[in-house]
Amino acid sequence: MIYYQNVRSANAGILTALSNRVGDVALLISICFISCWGRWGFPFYLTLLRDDVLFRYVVALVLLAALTRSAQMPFSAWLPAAIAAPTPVSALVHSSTLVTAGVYLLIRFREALIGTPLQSVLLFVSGLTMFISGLGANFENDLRKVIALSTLSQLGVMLFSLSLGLVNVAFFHLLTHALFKSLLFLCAGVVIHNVRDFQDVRSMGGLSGYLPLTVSCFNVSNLALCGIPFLAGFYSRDLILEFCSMSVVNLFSVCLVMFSTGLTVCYSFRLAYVSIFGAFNVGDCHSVDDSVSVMTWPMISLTIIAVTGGALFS
Amino acid sequence: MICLPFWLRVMALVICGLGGVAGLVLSIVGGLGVSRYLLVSNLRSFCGRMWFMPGISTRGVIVPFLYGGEVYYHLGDLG
Repeated sequence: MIYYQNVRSANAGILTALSNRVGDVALLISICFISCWGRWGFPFYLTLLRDDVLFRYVVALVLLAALTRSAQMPFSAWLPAAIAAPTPVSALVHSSTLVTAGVYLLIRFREALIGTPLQSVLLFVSGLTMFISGLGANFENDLRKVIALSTLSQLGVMLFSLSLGLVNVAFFHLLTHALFKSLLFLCAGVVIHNVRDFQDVRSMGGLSGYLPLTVSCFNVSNLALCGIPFLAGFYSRDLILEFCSMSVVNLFSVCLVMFSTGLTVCYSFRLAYVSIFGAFNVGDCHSVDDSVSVMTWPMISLTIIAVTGGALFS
Repeated sequence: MICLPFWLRVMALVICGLGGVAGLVLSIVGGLGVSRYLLVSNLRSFCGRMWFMPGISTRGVIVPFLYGGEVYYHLGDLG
């Protein structure tokens, strides 16, 4: 991601690296704490040592590491800045590898987390994160930044469901989100490449007549992100919302999660309308087509998975 | 097991529909986004820049410590 001759890329890389170092140091300190017990097989200690003072510090540090890695509220600036990386890198990082590591860390530490005051901290932080990232995406004009902010919003949804105690649903949402978000980034990469490397949605428009395959895949993944019935996002997202309205949660958190769900659909539709269905707005003197099979076959296969994945996994 | 009254069960779908309608209407009516209708530009920049989080976590963590370092540099005894 860091390219030293590009100031914006270097700044984004430094912001990303330094934000992540906070969590790395927290994780290292928690490893040092765990060494007091003689071995590092933490799953055995998660229920055994719940009342230990040292163990509370360990869980708090692990929570801090997960919050930085998943770019939650106080550390959320690095994820939208990290779109300076190439688009396939973003597809890998945002969908499955880097940012979901924090969610997976908390899934492994679920037994230590649930029932402690840290759970309410996580509920508040994740709810706020998905709200502000959804709100920010509605005002954003950069195509990839909108998708990065939607990743942030979905990470907030995952951690929100985790803090409600729905560990399996959080993991399910992690999987389905990886499917449609990687597809979304691949399609965004093709679109950006075809409009001569402009990322601004104002420089796109009317692309549906010129990039039919790419735009179809883009719309399918957008609708899956929104939670349109029977696509991948519907099964996990709807389950989270229904569990949220069924369990005992305060009104503020319910309002946050419902409003940010509405905001997700709002920015997805805005993105689709502005970049795809508007008037033709691309500069002339170049060809816009999507006939490169290297790009189309991954998109088609990912589209099939994004349509059927939710039903298969659930 | 999901056990909910009807309106709570379809609330997610209703919210999705409302959000979709809002997104389409705002992008058709307001040109790009809702900028024309949020006349208060401070509010727009506050919402659009994620509550100033990028500024806080770049400039906000550098400048206070830099100036604080200067203060303590002058306060301290350099021998």
